[in-house]
Amino acid sequence: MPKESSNLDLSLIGETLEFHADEITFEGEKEFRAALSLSSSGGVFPTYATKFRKPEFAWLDKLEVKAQEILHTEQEYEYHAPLSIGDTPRVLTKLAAIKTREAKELTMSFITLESEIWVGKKLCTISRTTFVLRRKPYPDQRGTV
Amino acid sequence: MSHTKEQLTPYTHPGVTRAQISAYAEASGDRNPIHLDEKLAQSLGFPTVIVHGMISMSLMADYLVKTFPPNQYLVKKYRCRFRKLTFPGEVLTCEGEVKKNLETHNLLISLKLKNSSGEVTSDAEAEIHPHS
Repeated sequence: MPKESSNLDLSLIGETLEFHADEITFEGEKEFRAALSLSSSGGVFPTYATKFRKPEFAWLDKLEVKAQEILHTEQEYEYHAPLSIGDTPRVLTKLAAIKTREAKELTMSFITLESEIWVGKKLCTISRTTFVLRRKPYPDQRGTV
Repeated sequence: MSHTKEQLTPYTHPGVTRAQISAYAEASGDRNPIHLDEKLAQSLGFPTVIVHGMISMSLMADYLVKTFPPNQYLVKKYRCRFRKLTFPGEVLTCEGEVKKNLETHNLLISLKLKNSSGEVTSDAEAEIHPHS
C-alpha cells in the first residue's frame, strides 16, 4: 500500500468512518456554551458540531498519528439544515485528502477530514477539518534524520 | 453586484483561563493532552498548554451571534484558520468587517482575532442570510 514520506497510508483516502452521536440535549448544549460563557444562539450553537469529532480521532488512530503530533489548522462548517435539541446525529467522516510538503528537517502533512452530519434523512452540516502533522523524515527515506 | 462595507465594533476578551480550557475539553470531548498537560506541552517545546483552536473559533462565533442575532440571521457557512498558537491568559481582540450584498441582503463577515502584540491568531469568514 502506498505510503508517503511521513508514513501515512494514502490508500485510505476516500474511505469513510461512521459514528452515531448521543442525543443533543438542552443540558448538553448549555454545558458546551457555559464552558466559555458563549451566548445562546436560539438553537444549537454554531460550533457545537465539534462534539461530533469522534470519527476524526478514530481516523488519527487509523493513520497511526498521535494527538500531540498534530495541530488543528483549519475548520469549516456549511449549515444546510439546523440541528435541534432532541436530534441524534449520524456522522460520516471521510479521509478527503493528504497533502505533503517536505523540507530538509521536517515533513509536513496536511490531513483533511470531511464529515457529513445527518439527522434521519436530513443533511444538517458539512464539516471540513484540516490538521497539520509534523514529523521528521524516516531514515530509510532520507538517509539521515 | 453592488455591496456596502462596514467595520464592526471590536470586542476584547480577557483571555481564556485554564479552567475554561478544562471545561471546554470535557464539554467538547477534545481531551488532547496538549491542551491540558503542562509537562507534556513543555516536553513538546511549547511554553505551556495551548488553547484549542476551536475555542478561538467559538469566541468569534459568539461575536457573530451577539452582533447578528439568530432571530434575524441564519449562519450558512463559517470557516476559520488557526494561524498562531494561543496560550492561556492571552488577551484577545476580535475585529470584524461586514460586506452586505444590496440585492440579496446576504452578509459576508470577515473576522480576525488578535493577541496583545497585534498578531492575528485566527481569522474567519462567515456567510449569513437574513431570515426571509
